[in-house]
Amino acid sequence: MRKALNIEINGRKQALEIEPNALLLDVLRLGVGLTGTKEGCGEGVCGSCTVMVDGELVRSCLTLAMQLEGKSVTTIEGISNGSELHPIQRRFLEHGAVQCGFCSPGLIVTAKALLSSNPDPSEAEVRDAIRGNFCRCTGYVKIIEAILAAAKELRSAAHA
Amino acid sequence: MHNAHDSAELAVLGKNVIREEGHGKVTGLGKYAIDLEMPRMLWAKIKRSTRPHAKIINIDISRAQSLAGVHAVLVDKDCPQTLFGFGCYDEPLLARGKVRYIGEPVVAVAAESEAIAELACDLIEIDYEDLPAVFDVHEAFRTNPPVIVHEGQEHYRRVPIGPPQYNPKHPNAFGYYRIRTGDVDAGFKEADFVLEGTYTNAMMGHAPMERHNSVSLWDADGNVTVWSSSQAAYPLLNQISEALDIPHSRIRVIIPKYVGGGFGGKIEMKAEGLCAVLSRAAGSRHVKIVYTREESLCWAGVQHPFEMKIKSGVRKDGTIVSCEMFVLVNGGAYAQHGFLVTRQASYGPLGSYRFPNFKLDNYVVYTNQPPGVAYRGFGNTQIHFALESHIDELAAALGMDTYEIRRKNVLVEGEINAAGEVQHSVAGNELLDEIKQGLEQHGELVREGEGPWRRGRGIAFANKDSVAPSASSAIVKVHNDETVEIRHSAGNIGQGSSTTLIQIAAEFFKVKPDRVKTAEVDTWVTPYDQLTGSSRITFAAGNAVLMACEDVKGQILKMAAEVMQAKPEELDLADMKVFVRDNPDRFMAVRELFRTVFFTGSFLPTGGELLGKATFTVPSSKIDPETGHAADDGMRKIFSFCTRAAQAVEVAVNIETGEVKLEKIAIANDVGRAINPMSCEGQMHAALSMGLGQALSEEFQLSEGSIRNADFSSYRFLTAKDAPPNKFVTTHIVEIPQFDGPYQAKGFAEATTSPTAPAIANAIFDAIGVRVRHMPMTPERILAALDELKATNKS
Amino acid sequence: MALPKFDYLAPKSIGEACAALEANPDGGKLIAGGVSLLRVMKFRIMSPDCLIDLKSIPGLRYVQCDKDVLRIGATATSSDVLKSSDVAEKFPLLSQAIGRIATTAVRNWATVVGNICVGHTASDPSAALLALDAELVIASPSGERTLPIDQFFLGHMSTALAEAELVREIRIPIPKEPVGMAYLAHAGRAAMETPLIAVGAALMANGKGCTSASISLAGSAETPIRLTRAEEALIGAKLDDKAIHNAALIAAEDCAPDSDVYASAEYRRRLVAVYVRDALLAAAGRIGHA
Repeated sequence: MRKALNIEINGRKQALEIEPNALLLDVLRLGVGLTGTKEGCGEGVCGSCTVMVDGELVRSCLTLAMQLEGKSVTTIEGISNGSELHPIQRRFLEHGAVQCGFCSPGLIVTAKALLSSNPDPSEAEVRDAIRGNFCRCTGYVKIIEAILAAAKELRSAAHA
Repeated sequence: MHNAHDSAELAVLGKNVIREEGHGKVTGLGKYAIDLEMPRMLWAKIKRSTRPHAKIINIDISRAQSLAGVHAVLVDKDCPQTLFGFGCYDEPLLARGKVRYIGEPVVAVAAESEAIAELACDLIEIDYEDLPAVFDVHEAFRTNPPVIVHEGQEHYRRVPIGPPQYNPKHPNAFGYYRIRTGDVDAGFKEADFVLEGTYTNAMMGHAPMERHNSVSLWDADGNVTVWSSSQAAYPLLNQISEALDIPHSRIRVIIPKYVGGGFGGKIEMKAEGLCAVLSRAAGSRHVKIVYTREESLCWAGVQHPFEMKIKSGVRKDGTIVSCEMFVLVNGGAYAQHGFLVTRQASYGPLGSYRFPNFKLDNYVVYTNQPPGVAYRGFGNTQIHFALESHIDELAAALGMDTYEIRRKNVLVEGEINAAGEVQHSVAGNELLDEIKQGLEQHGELVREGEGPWRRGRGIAFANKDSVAPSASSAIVKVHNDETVEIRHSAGNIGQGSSTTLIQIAAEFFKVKPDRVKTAEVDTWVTPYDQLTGSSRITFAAGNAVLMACEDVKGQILKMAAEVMQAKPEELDLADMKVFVRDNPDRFMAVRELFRTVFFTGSFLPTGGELLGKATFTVPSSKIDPETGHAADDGMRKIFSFCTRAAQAVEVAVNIETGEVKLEKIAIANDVGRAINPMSCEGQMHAALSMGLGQALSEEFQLSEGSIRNADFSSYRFLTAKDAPPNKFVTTHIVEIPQFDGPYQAKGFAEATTSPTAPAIANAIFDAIGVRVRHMPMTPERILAALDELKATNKS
Repeated sequence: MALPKFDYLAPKSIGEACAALEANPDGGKLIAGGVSLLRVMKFRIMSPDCLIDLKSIPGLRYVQCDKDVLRIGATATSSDVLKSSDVAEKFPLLSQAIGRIATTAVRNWATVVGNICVGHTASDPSAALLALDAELVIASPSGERTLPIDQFFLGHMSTALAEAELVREIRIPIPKEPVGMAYLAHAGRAAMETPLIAVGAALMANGKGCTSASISLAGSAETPIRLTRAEEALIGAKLDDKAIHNAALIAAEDCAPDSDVYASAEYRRRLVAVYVRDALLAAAGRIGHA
């Protein structure tokens, strides 16, 4: 039997009716058509499904949607400012951190959370922050470059 | 075929142009096949065999059929009674009478949701009668094996390739390749030192982040449309045609611009054909299937386990005199790419070194394990693990420097290799120089400190031949706003092929890359391309695109000549302006060719389009099936081109736990010409994901045909913390012009992961004196080897 | 992988939650973060027909430092514990163990209580809490009881929780004197893998030698265990290399590891000797010994 769920997604309030066994990932991808968040493994290991709930990173493939009443979800689609790319997104492109791109949404959301709480991370801290985001293509090298470059850019903008 | 412009400055080549599809990827707005949703779409699930080898006695689908929301349930008799394959046609859509591996599809279900389809599968009961099964490649290879996996093999339809593939002496072998050069026994007698070694690798998975998936429609008109996360639109189209027994003309394959990785595991048909049959059975509704991670890892094709015996003879000065190799490939239950992997791998050694005498026999054998397919390298990863470990063992026996022994034997430009093939665009010492400098810039090796870590350095060389014969067609359209549209079927699986083609066309037209775009791969629109694989797209597709650009340029000049009242041969084109070569002030813009006509808008006054079309083909010489040699026909060509690679690594080995950490790596690849250096580097960094995983941690744990670690928790896919810090990773792009490549470029992406495991094996030996001849070199194997070394030293 | 169907209940108090458990004896399961539970449900290892959401109960999400005891509430997440400066200062062993879990996104949602209630032998928090002599406050329809954690783990994936019981709180006694703590774990990758083995060590010593030793081991027996023989061997001894090596050897004898897809039993046993030694050296080093 469907139950009501009131939730905010990327700043927009949604009044949904969902099955009790609905996962956040399915609500996003199938329920509201936001397919930017991906499923890579379905068991919370690979990080493709990473989104933010009330500003904190979670694995949407292992989050029961019913537990999110009144909460605010941010997905990759909510990272850019309208058509303007967020510096993290832009740096990913400029540094060649995007190959097949399937891991990119989860990584960009993860990077955003990292830089919100730690605006000046060391490379080791970046590696630790993205340790739960699997990438098969890039070997992580340019992803880390891009995140560090974005961090620098965001710090300069903050000081300006 | 195009060469670089001799004098003009290359405006777009060598630039780090941002990926055409990058915006869609970083915003999440790009739709991968896995994101596609069609109206009233059904979801498919496959019920798979739980037995490695068994007769199917009974299948009871009644409870599944009567489950609400189920629209179709199929078994073999509901499907076309065909056998499909990739050169050896041995595979039914659904198991026919028996199952040959755990995971083989037996029943297919289409239902209104994935959950209902899964439930339906749970309600299906299958009765099996177990048959003896064979898993070990030696047992399977025997003349009287305990089990014959394909009893009808002798009569299977095949595409001839090399020597006869079926051999009654080895009834389970389904592929065979051989190379014969000189007299290896005489060579061994001449040698100062002879060494034998056997090298093996575990079964591994491609693990693309986007699992295998597709949507199929068999519509009321009898046409089949498929959207697939695929690497190879036309091979897929062909396999659907064979499997469904319908002509090509009734099939359309679409590959979205966004594909989440392939690595060789998305070349063959997976469930696209099966889902088309479901679609028809369900009243022509779209049917989508998304493989679970387990299915994608285990049952969509794996990397073949190889066993490679090498016997080689060298002179005191390190020159190789003679080499004999015997390779057994565990092909799994169906042929799929097995025979082509065997062929490609067989030539592997001959692209690296000079072999005055060489003998190779390579068999791929059926067993009751999950089938193997092409995997980044087409068998070269395995071959170079063996060869490069072996070369180092030779060096150690001779007391020779590991760079020196390779320098002694690498091929040089224009040389004819042991298969009679002329070597063009040969990198050898250049790569070795680069990696040496790359690693040594970090300082001296500190072997030991306090504690259990021991450090060592090692190198490896490798190469990858790109398949021939090969063909690629391209269409290039110039729109009325001067946008150049490339129509090509190269699947962009993450390597950035679309952007490479854009840069090539932009360079040709002397326009900015943002004025060039590619069309989505759609066999109604984009013409034939052999496949995305074998590192061939830059070379083959790049050349096809250049030729098509030349074709449309000719059309433009012809049309402009009339308008400008000049002769076409007096004109040239740059930045979408046609100008008189000797008087560039006389020019017109291409857009001015489009004038409002026919009351329907800004089109060409003659009707028609500016549409260039070309096909680039690479022939190969006739190959002697007995010797594997290219005929001496003026071409002496077996492959499209060869790319070489080298890596140098520094590792730390923990002598108490057997752990190995990669601490430094220098990665060098010959790319012909770097069209997009950032993309080149990105490909080279795969050494840290796939290369490192193969070397140290990735393996399927098999038990009686069952893979026990089929998820990301237990299949050791490496993380960002497993890779060394960026400052210790250097990439070295070497450019040895490929004379017949587009702007002298060629592909190289498969050769970025082959040197990693052997370089690490060699570094481990340098660190602790232990030689592990199996990939991956896990901590337990290293400790076992250390224990053995200690025991030997004691006695 | 779709989840099986189930009812979802959102109790507003512990009493309601226990009552719901009692009313659904065969098919009712508690969910907090659900990271472990939903995963096993996807693989059809468990199919409860009713999930009872602990996160809907207010007042259970806390990491509270009192005078003598640190209290972790039932729905405190691993991140909550990591962010606590009290934990970082007083129980670095626990911080290190919890910092090992998966990655931030998992720790933000998964609870520490939830983790230990799975009863997995290779659980980082279980090993840490065992070394710290934690106690669990267990609620049931008839009241509450307190159970030392070393009586909580009964077997592989099996805890001492009876039907209709839930863990309301973890209590860790705050040491009165300096304790040297260390937590070390070994996995097949640098992240995202359950440890093959993990060691938690907490040592106290005075001028004469070791006065208290607590060594826990995860992943090398049916449950996380305390290495009591190794601990006894250290009491009264100087915490030097010899004593520590000796304790490590005893530990390797007393563990009972299994083989699985991650590692063989033999390999685990070898790791035990190495990691117990290293954890003891690190712990002793933190109080100025060894």
